[in-house]
Amino acid sequence: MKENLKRYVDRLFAGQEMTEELADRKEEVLSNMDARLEDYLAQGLTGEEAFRRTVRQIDSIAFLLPGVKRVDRYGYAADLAQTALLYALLVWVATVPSRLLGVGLWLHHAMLLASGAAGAAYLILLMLERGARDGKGFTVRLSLLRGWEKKTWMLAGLALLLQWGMLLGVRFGSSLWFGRPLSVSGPYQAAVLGYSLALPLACLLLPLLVRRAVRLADQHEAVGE
Amino acid sequence: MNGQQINSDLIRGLIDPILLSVLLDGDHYGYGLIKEIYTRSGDVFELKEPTLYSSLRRLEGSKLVEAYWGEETNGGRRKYYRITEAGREACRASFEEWAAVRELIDRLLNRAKGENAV
Repeated sequence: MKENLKRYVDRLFAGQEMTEELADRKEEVLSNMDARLEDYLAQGLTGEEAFRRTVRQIDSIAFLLPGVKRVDRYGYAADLAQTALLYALLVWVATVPSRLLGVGLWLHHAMLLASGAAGAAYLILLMLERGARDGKGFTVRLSLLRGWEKKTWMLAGLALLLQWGMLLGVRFGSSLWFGRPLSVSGPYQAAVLGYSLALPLACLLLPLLVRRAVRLADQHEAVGE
Repeated sequence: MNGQQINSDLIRGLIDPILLSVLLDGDHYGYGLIKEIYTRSGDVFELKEPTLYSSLRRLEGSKLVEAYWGEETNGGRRKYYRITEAGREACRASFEEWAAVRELIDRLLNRAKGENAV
């Protein structure tokens, strides 16, 4: 049985670069599993059952590596879906004027679809969370998420600048392109212009969502059962 | 089952002080800590190993505990944890913090209960 445990732990740590620190942790993990196994055996469990329960505690060593967090998966995913739903609804409501102004209608419709998808995902995950309190974890690579956060911020910023540049270029460079200066002849047109300028702000919600994913990992860290 | 889930949510932020207070009464190795917490909780709360390790790493990182290897047994060496002076200090601070929070929450929840009863 001890040999099996040793082999199990070896397999867990396979493929990792064995630094001194990791070797240290490996020894600690093995000795704790060993103590648990002994304890289960002392409680009268069969060898097989004791082994099964012992290894169930640790199915991955991702949590021992830096920048990684273990979360309860359904709860985490459900909260994330809820945030996505909230954001999509927010944009959907904020773009209701699109119907009148005729600008950004595609965004308005896309957000309705996104709300529907996120809402459905949320409900399903919520049901799964209720049904299966199996304590199964899910590994979140924080370092990866943080990288994404940075990337999506840059992407969103770039998209924003590009959109604004195009919009303003077309409007205020009007005398260059069309040989006729721009005329904002009334509050309506000013509103349309302001509205079109505000629309691209919606793309900032993507990095915000990724950021939320990082935050939620803290809140949902799996603790015990 | 549901009650235990509520436990987990409330306990989440308090794992570090809980470990500290167990270590206050003596050094322990990893599984020993889990056992001790399980016993102290009246056999309802079993800390998960991954959570134990990440909490210990955190405590070690902020020098609230220190680790040392014990003697060789037939199960191999065990790694023990000892609370430091800073750890005792942090533990005391947590007690006071928790006492204040508990009093506040008790007061708030009792009032809510009272109003429901009326």
